[in-house]
Amino acid sequence: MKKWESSSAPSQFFAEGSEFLSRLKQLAKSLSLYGPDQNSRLKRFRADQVRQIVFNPSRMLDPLKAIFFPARSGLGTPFADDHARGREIPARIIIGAKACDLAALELLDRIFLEGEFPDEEYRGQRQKTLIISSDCEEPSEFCFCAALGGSPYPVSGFDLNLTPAPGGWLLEAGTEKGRELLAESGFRAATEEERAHREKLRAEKSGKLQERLLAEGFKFEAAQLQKVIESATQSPLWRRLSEKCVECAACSFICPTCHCFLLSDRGHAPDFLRSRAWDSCSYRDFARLGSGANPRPRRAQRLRNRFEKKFCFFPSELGRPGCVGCGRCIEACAGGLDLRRTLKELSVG
Amino acid sequence: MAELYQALRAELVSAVPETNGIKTLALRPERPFTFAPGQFAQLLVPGKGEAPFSPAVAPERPELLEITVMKRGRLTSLLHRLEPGAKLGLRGPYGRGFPLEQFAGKELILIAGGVGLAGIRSLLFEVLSQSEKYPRVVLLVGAKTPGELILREWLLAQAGRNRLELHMTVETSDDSWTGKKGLVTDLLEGIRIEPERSSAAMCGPEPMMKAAALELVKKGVLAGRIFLSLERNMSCGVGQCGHCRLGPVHVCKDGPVLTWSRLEKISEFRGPR
Ligand SMILES: Cc1cc2nc3c(=O)[nH]c(=O)nc-3n(C[C@H](O)[C@H](O)[C@H](O)COP(=O)(O)OP(=O)(O)OC[C@H]3O[C@@H](n4cnc5c(N)ncnc54)[C@H](O)[C@@H]3O)c2cc1C
Ligand code: SF4
Ligand code: FES
Repeated sequence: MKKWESSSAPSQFFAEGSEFLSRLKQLAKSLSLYGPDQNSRLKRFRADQVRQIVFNPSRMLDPLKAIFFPARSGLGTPFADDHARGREIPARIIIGAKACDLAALELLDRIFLEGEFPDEEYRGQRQKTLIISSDCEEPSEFCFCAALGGSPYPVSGFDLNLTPAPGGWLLEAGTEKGRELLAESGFRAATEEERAHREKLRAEKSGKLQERLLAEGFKFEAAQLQKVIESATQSPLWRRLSEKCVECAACSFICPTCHCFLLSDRGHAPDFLRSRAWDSCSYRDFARLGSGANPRPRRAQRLRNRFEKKFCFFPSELGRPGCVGCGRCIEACAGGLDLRRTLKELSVG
Repeated sequence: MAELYQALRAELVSAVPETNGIKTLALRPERPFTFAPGQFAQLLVPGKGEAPFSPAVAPERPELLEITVMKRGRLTSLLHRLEPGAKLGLRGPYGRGFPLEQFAGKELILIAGGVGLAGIRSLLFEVLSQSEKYPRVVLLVGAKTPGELILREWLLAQAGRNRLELHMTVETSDDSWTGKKGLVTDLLEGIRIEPERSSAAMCGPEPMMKAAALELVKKGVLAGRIFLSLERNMSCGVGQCGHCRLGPVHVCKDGPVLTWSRLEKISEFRGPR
């Protein structure tokens, strides 16, 4: 696009609620549509079910990774010369993603796509999926994105983003795919007033969240956390907290950036099968060697390792913490561990 | 490139016992499988699973890939039961091996503990076949008992041809052993080391490698010229599954060969100070 065009072409559009739903319905006829249901779970909806989609006020329970990197997936034959795999990847739309989901997905992209051995299956899934995100209207009690420098509205990583506007939605395209979709939809350009309304709304929501978090003492500096966790290898805190951990690994499975997995093989000649399933560093044998040696035999060590991965490994290798502040692990923890409180304790020292 | 996680077929040609619990498997891959010394491969028993091993190609049998396997748990026990003709799979090579360019012209101190000799065997083949590039090659080998000294005949033959300064030691033995007794690190005391001209490479139990690295540093060898081949639990081999992570490093991708200067900065590796 030439420079003078970009200033005149509208980047934000307006759609009435019903207008948007009927467009979604139309799209769902040719694409698989996923979004949050009334239980905050990520579910598939048929075209005639779009009215059942819940426009979630904050992130849903399921992490988006479940779509691109399923909990368990068959990889087909373990041999390169059998071409039994080559599955067709269906085109999809996900609606209901939030800023924290998108931040997490950006990290997963780097894990699976950067380097010498990119995961082409994952790439295909990503390319075939259109992501419609939205601003958070009501952060959940677990949300703390803003304490880690995030904000409750998406700024990148979406194809299309929705912000509530009087009578409907303000839509913004983040990618070429999103722009095309908007161009085909026939929505009108947003007015100056609607655009100003969005900025005001965003400042309000994020200010309110920050205030609430600050009141609880939740404000973290990534660089400081990295330093503290790196040096606090012997802190009694790990042991005290790990006494509550029941090693269920719920925190790993529900975390949008946890990407650890295990390959396994089964079957008999000539039909051998390989599969891949989520794994967790909380499990005792995660890092155990054949010799029996275990780098992290104690639960306290594994708990610290989890923090080290999120707040030391991710920043030093990928430039930002591996925690996006979605609070899912807090909601899921059977032992009542609260990541925010741990970070606070670590920050205070 | 083959699809991620997919293996090349390979047939087991022979399985020769080295010592009690250690066998060398010779494989014939369907297509050439090339690798640099110190890189590893995931060896697949179809339908059963995989484990990482350090392959080597013996100069006498360039068409075969040799893998020396110590029997430990589930998969290595399966490997020990295989008969010639068994169908296996190989994927890789993965990781970063030994820095041959950096080693050229240096006096090399190679240290192996137990089955760790398997991890530097391909480096040994390389440097012995290119003796003009490596003015001096010292190999220190340690094992628990004489029966666990693998590749002994071959090593003795190399030493006999004056290409290799070989020193062996065992921790415990009976009267049949007339050589040295003690730890492999003790052998470091008995050799001449010119620190500014030396590089070191080692593979073996981690406590042994740590002790040896510290000793070398004490003798003046630069931490950046001491290379350790690490063992970690591995699944993917390509830096994605998280199993092998050690601090900021994925051992499968950034290693398995890592310098002491890098490792000593990693708190989990170093242990409590
Ligand atoms: C780079 C590298 C090079 C190596 N080179 C050599 C070599 O040349 N020679 C040699 O003898 N050894 C070598 N090893 C060590 C070798 O890989 C281990 O001894 C081997 O993996 C032990 O496997 P096992 O199944 O027999 O042991 P186990 O103790 O049964 O398993 C080892 C680990 O694998 C996992 N595991 C067990 N069962 C399963 C399962 N069903 N599914 C998934 N995971 C499972 C467990 O987490 C366990 O901690 C090397 C290791 C590395 C990392
Ligand atoms: S963590 Fe922030 S972005 Fe995520 S759902 Fe909560 S408020 Fe929204
Ligand atoms: S083995 Fe999977 S990350 Fe190293």
